[in-house]
Amino acid sequence: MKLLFLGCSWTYGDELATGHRAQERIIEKRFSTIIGRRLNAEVVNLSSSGLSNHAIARKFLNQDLKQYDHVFVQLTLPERTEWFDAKGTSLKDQPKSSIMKIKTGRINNRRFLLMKKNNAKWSSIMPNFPQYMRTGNLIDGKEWWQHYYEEIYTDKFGETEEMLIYNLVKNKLTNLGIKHTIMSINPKCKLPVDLNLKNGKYPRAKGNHPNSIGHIMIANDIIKLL
Amino acid sequence: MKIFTNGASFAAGSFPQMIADHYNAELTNIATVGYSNRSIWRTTIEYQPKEYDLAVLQFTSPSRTEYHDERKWIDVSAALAYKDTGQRRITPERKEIWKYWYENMYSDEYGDCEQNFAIEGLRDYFAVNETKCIIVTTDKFTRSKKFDFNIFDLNFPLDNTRHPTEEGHKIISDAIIKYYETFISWV
Repeated sequence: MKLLFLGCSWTYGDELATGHRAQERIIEKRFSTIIGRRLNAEVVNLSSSGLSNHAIARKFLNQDLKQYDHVFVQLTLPERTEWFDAKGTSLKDQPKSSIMKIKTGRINNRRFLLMKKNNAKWSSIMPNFPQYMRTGNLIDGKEWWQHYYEEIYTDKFGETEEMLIYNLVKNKLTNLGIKHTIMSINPKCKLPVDLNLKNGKYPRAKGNHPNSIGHIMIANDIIKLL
Repeated sequence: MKIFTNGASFAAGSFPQMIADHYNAELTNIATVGYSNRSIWRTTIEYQPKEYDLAVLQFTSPSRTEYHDERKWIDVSAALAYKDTGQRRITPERKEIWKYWYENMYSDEYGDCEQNFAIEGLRDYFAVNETKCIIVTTDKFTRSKKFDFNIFDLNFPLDNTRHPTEEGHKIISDAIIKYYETFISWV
């Protein structure tokens, strides 16, 4: 049995551990691993912190979904988004994978390797965190994304995007005949999701993510739905 | 037979009615001039077409998009940034924001991703509702292989607004009917 989990920091397991071997301990404690252990299933968790519904849908469509017996998708806050930073101007952290080899050869019998930094990437935008809107694109000295949230974005847009992506995920998995569970962390979500994780029931860590007990409770509640 | 169609200016013309007339079918056409692929996806899902035999969707340039100004949905295209399209609802501030987007931030990768969401979202919606679906595009330079065909691969006359003449619409409707009968109707 093989399970796919896709979502933001809640499904990734943010705040479950820090310091030495934090990632190992996060994987150990997060609800996807607990569910996998209980069902004796292989777990693939492609979640990461800061993902928007747009990013979750993009990653979802990039998977070979047919290999999974059950897919768990956790939708996130609708005001988040992402854009493709083709010029690599975002001032956020650049991943190591952004270095790519473009040419190798020999000059005067000495080998050379030409490396180029390829910073083009999908970049998360989170209006609650100004550092996640710093892209270097300024109009009158103000970040483009700040103008976007002040002048263009409305709750109606976010709700509609959430509804479209919910339908995209639901219909894709229904059409493929794959069992699925759709969750949300949007407390105002009006969609018929299987479980809303932001219902106040799950104990949280300082940064508002579920703590290790919260993850156990979430795993219990998801298993009840299967 | 019941046919549902949606799309931008090409589908807001007469080829959908010509297809319906060919089959003596009942037609629902919600295509609107200026729609983006996102608008086509959104309005179709909001309309919730059910119990149709065939859906024909005409996609457009992936760079178009839309936003909601608290009163209604506003279509946005790259052309908006350079000419007065008569859309008085777009304030100069908003126009400047979109102009910057197209000049500095929009990329083919972004447009292709949005287009892919709409194609996949609509194909699966109609598959789940057991409606046969044909998706064509008027984006001459599309990089997607997920369309049934590109309307601009057909040879048809255009009027001075770069839209099909009545003869052009007939050529498009004949091509869709032929495609439907060859590849879709018997599946």
